[in-house]
Amino acid sequence: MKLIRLPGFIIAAVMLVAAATWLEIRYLGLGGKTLFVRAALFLFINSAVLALSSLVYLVGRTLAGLWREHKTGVPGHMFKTRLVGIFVILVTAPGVVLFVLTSWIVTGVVERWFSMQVKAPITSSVDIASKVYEMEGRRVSDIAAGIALQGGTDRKGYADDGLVVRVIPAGGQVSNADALTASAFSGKADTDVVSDGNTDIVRAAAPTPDNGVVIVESRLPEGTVRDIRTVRTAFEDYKTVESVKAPIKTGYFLFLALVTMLTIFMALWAALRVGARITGPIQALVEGTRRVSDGDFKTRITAVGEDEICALTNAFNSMVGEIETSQLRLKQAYAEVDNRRLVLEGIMNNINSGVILLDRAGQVIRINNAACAILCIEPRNLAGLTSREILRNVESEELVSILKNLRHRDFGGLCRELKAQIRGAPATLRVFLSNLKDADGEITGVLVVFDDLTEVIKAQRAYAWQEVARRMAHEIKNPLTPIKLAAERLLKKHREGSPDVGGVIESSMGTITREVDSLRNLVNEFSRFGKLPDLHLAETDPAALVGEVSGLYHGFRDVSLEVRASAGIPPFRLDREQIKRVLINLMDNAVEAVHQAGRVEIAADFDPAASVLRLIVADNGPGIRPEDRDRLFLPHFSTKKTGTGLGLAIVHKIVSDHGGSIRAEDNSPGARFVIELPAARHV
Amino acid sequence: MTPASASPYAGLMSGRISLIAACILLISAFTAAAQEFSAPSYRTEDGRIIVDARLDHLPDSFIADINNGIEKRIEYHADLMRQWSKWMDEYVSGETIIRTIKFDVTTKQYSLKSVEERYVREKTAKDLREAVEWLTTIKGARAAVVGEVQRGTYYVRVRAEARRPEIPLVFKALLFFMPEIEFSAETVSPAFPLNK
Repeated sequence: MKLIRLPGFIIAAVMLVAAATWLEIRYLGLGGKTLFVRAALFLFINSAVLALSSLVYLVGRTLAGLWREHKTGVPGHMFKTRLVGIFVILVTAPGVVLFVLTSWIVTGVVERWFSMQVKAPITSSVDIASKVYEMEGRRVSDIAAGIALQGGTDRKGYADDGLVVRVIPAGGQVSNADALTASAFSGKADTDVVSDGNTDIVRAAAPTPDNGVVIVESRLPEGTVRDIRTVRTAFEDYKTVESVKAPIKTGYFLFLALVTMLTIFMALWAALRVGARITGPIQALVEGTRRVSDGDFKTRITAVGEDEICALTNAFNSMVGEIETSQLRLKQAYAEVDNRRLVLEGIMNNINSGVILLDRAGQVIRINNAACAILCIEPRNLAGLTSREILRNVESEELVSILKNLRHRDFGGLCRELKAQIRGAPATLRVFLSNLKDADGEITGVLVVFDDLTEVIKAQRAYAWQEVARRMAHEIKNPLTPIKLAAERLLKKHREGSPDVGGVIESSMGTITREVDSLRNLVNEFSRFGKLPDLHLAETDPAALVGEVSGLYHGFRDVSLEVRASAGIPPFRLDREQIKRVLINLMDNAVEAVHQAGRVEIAADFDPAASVLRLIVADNGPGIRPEDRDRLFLPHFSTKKTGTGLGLAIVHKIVSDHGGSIRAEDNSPGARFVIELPAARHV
Repeated sequence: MTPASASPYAGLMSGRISLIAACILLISAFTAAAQEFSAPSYRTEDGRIIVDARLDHLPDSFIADINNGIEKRIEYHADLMRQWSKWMDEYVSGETIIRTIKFDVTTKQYSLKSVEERYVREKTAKDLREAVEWLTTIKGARAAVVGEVQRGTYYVRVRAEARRPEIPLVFKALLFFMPEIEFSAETVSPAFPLNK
C-alpha cells in the first residue's frame, strides 16, 4: 500500500512545486534579482509550500480517515475522535491566539514607523528646505526683474551679494537644454535650480524691454545644500519605505501565517500521530474484545513497545489465551458430560427400575421408560409435571405422603416397600428415595427409584409355598415312619403270637400317640399362622410399648438388657398386641441367640425427616449368615432344630399389615432387626 | 471618539482590518498592474520602421510616488514581431527606451531622463502634466530596418514595464512575494506585410 502511495505522493509534490514555480515566475517578477537570490527564493518558497501541502495532506488524510471510521462505526472511533478533538483544540487555539496577537503587535509596530511623530519632522525639514529654494528663487527673480526693467544696465553691486548677473541681448545664443533662458526669450520670467555637483544654483530669468534676457544666478552655500540633500534623501528614503508599507505588513502577515500554519499543522500532525499511537492499540483492544465476545478466542493483538498499553495488550492476550484454554476444556467437559448423559440416559431407558428425578418444587426433571411402564403413563415429554400428576394412576396414600413430606427435607436416603393400586391392579413397589444435593450441600431435588415387586413377590410366594409344602411333607413324613414301623411291629408280633404282644402293643401305641400329637401340634401351628386376627389399630405410645416388652426380660440374669427410647416420639396408631407379639418374638430369638448370656438391645426411634417409627431389636450373638437373610422371613424357614419356621414369617406378616417393613442387618457382632412403621400410622 | 475613550479592542480591531487590507493588497499585487496602451502607430521612414506609442493612464499610486520624490522608471520595448499562422509569433528586432522621472521635493522640479539606443536625453520640468506626458509617450522608436527583414506578415508590439524602486535591504527579504514589476502593459498593431 505504501509502495503505491509513495510514487503518487512524489508525482503530486513535483506537480505542486512546478505549479508554485510557475506562479512565482509569472507573478513575482524576479527577473531583476540575481540568480542566487532567485534560487534561494524559489527554494524557500517551494520548501514552504511543499512542507505546508504535505502537512495539510497528512492531517487531512488522518481527519478523513477518522471521519470514515466515525461513519462506519469502527470500534474505538469515539475515543479517537475525542482525543483528536482535544489535540486539535490544544494545538490550534494557542497557535491562532499567538498568530492574532503577533500580527496585532507587528501591525502596530509598522504603523508606528510611519506615525506622525516620525513623519512630521521629516516633512517639516523638507518644507523648510523647500522654502530656502523658494525664497532664494523669489529674491533672484525680483532682482532679475528689476535689472530687466532698467534694460540690464544696472548690474553693479550684485556681485558683492554673491550673485552672477548676465544679460543676453536679443538674438543671443541659447542652449536647447536651457529651458529657463528660452522661456525668458519667449517673454516669460521664470526661475529654476541647477546643480553643479557641489552646490545648487538658483537661477532667475527675466525678459528686457529690448527683447533681451537678464539672468541672475545665486549659488547656495555648499553646507546648506549638503544639509538640504541629506534631508531630501531621508525624506525620499522614508517615502520609498512608506510606499511599501502595506506590502511590509502583508509580508509580516504572510511570514507569520506561514510559520503559524507550519507550526499548527506540524503540531497537529504530531498530535495525530501520538493520538494514533495511543488509540491504535486501544482500538485494536476494542476490536479484539469484540471478536472475543463474538466467540473468536484465537484473537491475539500484536503488542509494540514496553509501555502500559503494551502491558495491557499482553494481559489481554494472556487472558484470551486462558479463556481459549478454558473454553476448550469446557467443550471437552461438556462433551464428556454429554457422553455421560447419553450413557446415563441409555442406562435409565434400559433398566427395569423406574427412575424419577424431581426438583425442589416436586416437578419432574427426568423420568425413564420403565417408570412410565410401571406407573402406566404415556412416555411422552413429562418434564415439568408434578409428582401428583405422574402418580395419578397410582392409589397409594403412603407414597403420596412420602413424596410430599420428603420434598424439602434432608432425609439422606429411604427405602420402602409399599402396596399400591395401579389402575386398580394391586402392586407391590419397592421405593428408594434419596436427596440430591449440589456442591454446597443444598438440596436440589429428590431421586426416586422404584421396582415393581408384584411378580417377584408372586414368584417368591409360590416358591415359599412350594417350600412349605416340601417342609410340610417332610414334617408329616417324619412321624408317619415311626407310626408305620410301630404298626408293622405290632402286626408281626400279633401274627407270631408273641407272648409279649401286650408290651409291644403298649409300646407301639405310645409311639403312635406321640407322633400323632406331633402332627397335631404341626397342624395347630399352621392353623394359627393362617388365622392371624385382623388389625385393631389404636393410639399407642411406642416408648411405653418398648418399656413393657423389655420388662418381660429382666429375669435373665446373664443377659444385659439395654432399653432405649428417644424423646419426642409421637403416638402411633398400631395394633398394640400384635406389635407386642412381634417384639416378644424378636426378643425371644435374641435371648436364645446369646444363649441367655449376652447383650440384648431394644429401642424405639422416630425419624421426623422420613416420618418413620423405627423399632430395633439387636443382640451380640453369632448373627445371621448372609445366605439365610433372604429366606429369613419365609414361612417354615428356621435355623433352629426345634423351630417351626413360622415365628419370623408371622412377624413379617404383622409388620406388613401395618404398612411397614422389617429387615435384618449385621450388628457386628450379632444380628439387628429394624422395623420401620410409616408416618401414616401416627396420629 | 477621543483616544481616552477608545475601546481596548480598537487596536486589535485595527490590526484585523489591517490584516484584511493586507490580504486584499496581496491579491491585488498578483492580479492588478495592467495599464491601458493605445494601439501603436508605425511608419516606414528612411528604410526603418518607426513606432510611436502612448501609455494612456498611470496609476494614482505611481503618480503619488513620483510626487513623494521616489524615482520611477518605465522600460519600453518597441518590437517588430513576425506573425506565423501555425507557430508562435517570432521576435525580429526592436528598440528599448528607458524613461526615468525624479521629482525634487525641495526645488519642486521634475528631472526627466530618457535612455535610448544611442543617446541619453535629460530635461527638467516644473509641471506634472508635462512630466507625465513626456514619461508616457515614445516617439520615433526604431523597431527594425526594413531591408533586413524577410518577406512576411508582421506587426508591431509595444510593451511597457514599470519597476519598483529599490527598497532597503532589511525589507527586501520580507517582501520576497512583491513583484518587482509595478505594472506592465502591452499593445500590438494590426498585422501588415513587409517586402511582399
